Amino acid sequence: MKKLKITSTRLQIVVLILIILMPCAVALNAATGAWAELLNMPQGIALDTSQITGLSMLAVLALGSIKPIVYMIAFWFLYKLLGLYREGIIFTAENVAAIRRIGWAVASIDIADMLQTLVTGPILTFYNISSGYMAARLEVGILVIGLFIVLIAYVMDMGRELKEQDNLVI
Amino acid sequence: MAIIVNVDVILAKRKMKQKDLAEAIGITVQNLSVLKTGKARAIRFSTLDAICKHLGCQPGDILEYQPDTIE
Repeated sequence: MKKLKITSTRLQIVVLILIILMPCAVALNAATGAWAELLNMPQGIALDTSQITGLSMLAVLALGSIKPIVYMIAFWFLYKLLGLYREGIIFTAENVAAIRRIGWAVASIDIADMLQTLVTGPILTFYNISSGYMAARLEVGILVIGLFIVLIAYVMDMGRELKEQDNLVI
Repeated sequence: MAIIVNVDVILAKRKMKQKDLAEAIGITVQNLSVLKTGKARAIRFSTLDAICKHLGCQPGDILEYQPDTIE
């Protein structure tokens, strides 16, 4: 149990650093004008960065923040789960709920990515930042991992119920 | 529940303390309390055997069936 507490505390620090780094990375990309990296643009699409001012900059920042925000939410749920482990709370309903939340958040990363890719083209075209293009990306690797985490949460919940029942067998 | 656990009745008849019985049969006082209060989901044959052995009684003395009354 002591080892779990130490490991959880260390991992919590790592996850907290990642949570802090996410908005920093977005801000750094914006500050250095690395808009293509921020928007995860497909190759061969040129950006007219001189058009990124005021409202269009806000739109680009919002677009570029979609995925980092979902990552931050997933990391936050992970941070909370590690907090429970640090307190020695392992097989409880609270843990199951935390793991389930992580699963849905992780699954949302790919959905956010698809959404971002889908709306980036029309929005950039609207603000004359790029020539009219429309792209769609279908990556489901992280989505499958997220759904698998949700499944693990359900199995863990069943295990917790069995444990509770076993505690009442004298 | 329809099954009533009468361990406390037998304990009183034998003038034995709950703590002593728990120690003798190798379960915790908390678990014996769970059994007494009817919160237990099941009882192992080994536990029942140990209780009967130490209290010198039959399983029927400890467990009693009372049909649920419908209001």
